[in-house]
Amino acid sequence: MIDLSRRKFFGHSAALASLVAAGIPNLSFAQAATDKRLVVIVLRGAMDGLHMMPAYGDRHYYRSRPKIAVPKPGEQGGALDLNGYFGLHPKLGKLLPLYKAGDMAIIPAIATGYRERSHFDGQTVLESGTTNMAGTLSGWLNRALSNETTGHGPKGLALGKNVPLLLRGPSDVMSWAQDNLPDLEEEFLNDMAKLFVKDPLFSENLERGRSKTFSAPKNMMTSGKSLRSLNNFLEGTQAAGMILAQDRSPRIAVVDMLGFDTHYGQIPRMDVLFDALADGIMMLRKKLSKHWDKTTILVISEFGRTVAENGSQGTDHGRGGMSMLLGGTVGGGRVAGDWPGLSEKGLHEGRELKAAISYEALFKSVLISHLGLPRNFVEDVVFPQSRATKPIEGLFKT
Amino acid sequence: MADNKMTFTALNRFGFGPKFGEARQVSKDPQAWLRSKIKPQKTLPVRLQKYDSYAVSMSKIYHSVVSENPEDKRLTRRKLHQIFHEETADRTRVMIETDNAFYERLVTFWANHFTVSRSRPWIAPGLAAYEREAIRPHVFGKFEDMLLAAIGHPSMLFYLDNIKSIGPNSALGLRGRRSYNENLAREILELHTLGVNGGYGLEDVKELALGLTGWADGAFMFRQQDYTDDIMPVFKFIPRIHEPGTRTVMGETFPQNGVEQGRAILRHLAHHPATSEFIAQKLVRHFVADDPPAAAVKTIAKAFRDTKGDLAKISAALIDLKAAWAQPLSKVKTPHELVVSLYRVAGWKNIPQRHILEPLKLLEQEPFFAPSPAGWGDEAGDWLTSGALIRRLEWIRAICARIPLTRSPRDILAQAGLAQFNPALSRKVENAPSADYALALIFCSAEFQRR
Repeated sequence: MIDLSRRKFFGHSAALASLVAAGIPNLSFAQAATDKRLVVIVLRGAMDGLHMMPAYGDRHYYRSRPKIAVPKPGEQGGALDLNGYFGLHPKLGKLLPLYKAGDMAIIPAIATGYRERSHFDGQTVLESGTTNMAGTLSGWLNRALSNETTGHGPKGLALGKNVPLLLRGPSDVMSWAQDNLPDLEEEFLNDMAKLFVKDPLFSENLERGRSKTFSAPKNMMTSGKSLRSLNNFLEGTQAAGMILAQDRSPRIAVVDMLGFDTHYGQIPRMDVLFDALADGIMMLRKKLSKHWDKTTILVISEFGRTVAENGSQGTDHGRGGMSMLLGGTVGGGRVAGDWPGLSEKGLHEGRELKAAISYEALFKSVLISHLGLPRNFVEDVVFPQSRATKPIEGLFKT
Repeated sequence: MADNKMTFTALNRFGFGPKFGEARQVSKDPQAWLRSKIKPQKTLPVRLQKYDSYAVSMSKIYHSVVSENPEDKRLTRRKLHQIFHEETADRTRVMIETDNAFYERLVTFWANHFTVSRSRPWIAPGLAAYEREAIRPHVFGKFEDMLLAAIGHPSMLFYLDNIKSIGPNSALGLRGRRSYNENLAREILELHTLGVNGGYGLEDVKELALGLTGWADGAFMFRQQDYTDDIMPVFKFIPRIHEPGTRTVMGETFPQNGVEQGRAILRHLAHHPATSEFIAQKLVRHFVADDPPAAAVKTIAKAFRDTKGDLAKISAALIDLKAAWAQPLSKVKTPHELVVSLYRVAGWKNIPQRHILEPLKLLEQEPFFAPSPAGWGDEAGDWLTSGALIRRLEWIRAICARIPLTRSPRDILAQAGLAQFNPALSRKVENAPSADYALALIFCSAEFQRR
């Protein structure tokens, strides 16, 4: 652990930056009013929920997936039984103790209001929390941060060089990434601030980028895995865990994981991805162990995939997907929410899982029951016009 | 002088910024000067002529896979990746040195429109060849020809899974359980032609996918024991996996005609009114503003329809757009544009490969490595977060200490033409504590980072 240099952290707080520029050292922002932690893991590419949590008790499952189904519990490479009907993919086996301890809940059939099949639009709806994609969009998580009960100063943290839409918007957030360029001289930054003065886009981004806050890991682990994006994910979860564990730090982090668009050769690709996903979640479990009873990890994806496999041992885009909640706060050890089943009649357009629960309901539950945001605020500011969508009851321990 | 500002726009908005001395060569009529750059490029830039075709480089990979020596595969791939990186650097050098930056900018625009990405590592060694073969020849040609060349290129067929797409009622489909794959068809409709709001439905995706069954890479379907020298990874239509029957896409029916069926559908899409709107919007976003003005989009869409997708005439129409000459320039340079434009005006001869590739990786725009089939974003918000801005400044500050200083920062500032927009920059440069510091001030300025 070292004091974090400016280049590692990009504070997005204009007020803080100007104080730093004035030479006040070791500044960090106010203690957040909440001590709850939230990590959102976005699985980009539309994760195949039926591969993550195979419905091995449903005969339609094996009929629809003759080549790529996960075998039944007890068979070679078989699923790990959860409740006699659903199993967990064996590469996620590290998570099974969490499920058994009641710290993990799975929502088997969930979707946003988005009806088409574009990843980019699907992610936009998932992250902005609206199907109306006109104009300048902000992320629902960023809007949630604008409530004063979550404290002052930068409260959200994006792991990666770019801030995902989920965290973009009016509230201050920070991003973290690794690189190895020398720091800029204070004098040079002051000169640039003066030269940018006529260009608000550049001057505002420079101000935000200059704040220097708290400590973060310098020597990141090397996982030995060759995929660049997986390394980014694993480093991201490690950094998120270490940063969120500190007293004066953002409380909310977003980590991206890429590669779930498995149109072909799904089995080996998902093996690698699930292995890394389990490692990343267990890294968060470890780094946040002192705060585990205040932590929720939310795993989401823009939509799901077809129930039947396609001709190239993969699956195509579909409606209903799967989501996971983990953490000491979670009322887990169960599969939460309805399950529409896999019979052809029960499927959307005869090929895709229906959505038994909307993401909006899940997100509202997390904001109200976990972060403790007032319901009125959530329904006025974060998800306007969502009063008809009730939060899900009982997702969290009481 | 207004002329001077138009020269600035011609060089920056339509090109990659001036080379040292280039501003003098722009005539009194910058629009006419730009129009003179619109001419078919019959030959490749010299630097790119020595590289293998897609078929030749990829066939080396296929050969190594069937080789009896397991080391062959590893060594071949390593060698090919090395060559790929050399070509990637040479491609950027071409853009740094070219006298026709308008053409090279359009190459990057269209290659991005028809993105094929290294996110599928197998095809990586062939991606630079894809751009040479499918994009470069058509930049001032017909949109329809570029569409057919890009979609029909084996790297695209591989990237978007069409090589594994098998008509369920084709000869092979009837024997097995394999079926068609919609990935390519969906991206053609959403990203390459009609656009996401182009009015197509799930059925159109499926019908286009079926129409394209059989479009394959001639080397992919082989059995290993059958592999011979005359099996090549070039476009090949395979009748035994092509779905029989008539197809209907966007209300138009296309009778069974083998490979010509898919071509006919693509041609129909190339000339669909939604395509002209979608392409016009992207072009205007690129050459005018992140939020493309409706009137300009309308003008370009009309030019597209009137000329049946003649990209030379559409490029000329872009030059004629009044909105494209509005100042100050509002577009933020992408990392690639930033790196190219910096080296152009700095006039560094023989830039080492790592100083070309490393910043592109650092600033997250490695050529041929777009994150998705949608390509790189073309709006300021896609590139200018606070973290990304700091990283730009850090790289520029560091590289300015390495560029061999053959000209004074004062001269470079004058060549770049920035002081007319920000007089404070001249003063800062004059008073800078060192030459590399002065250069960094120039290249970090907002005026330099916009186009």
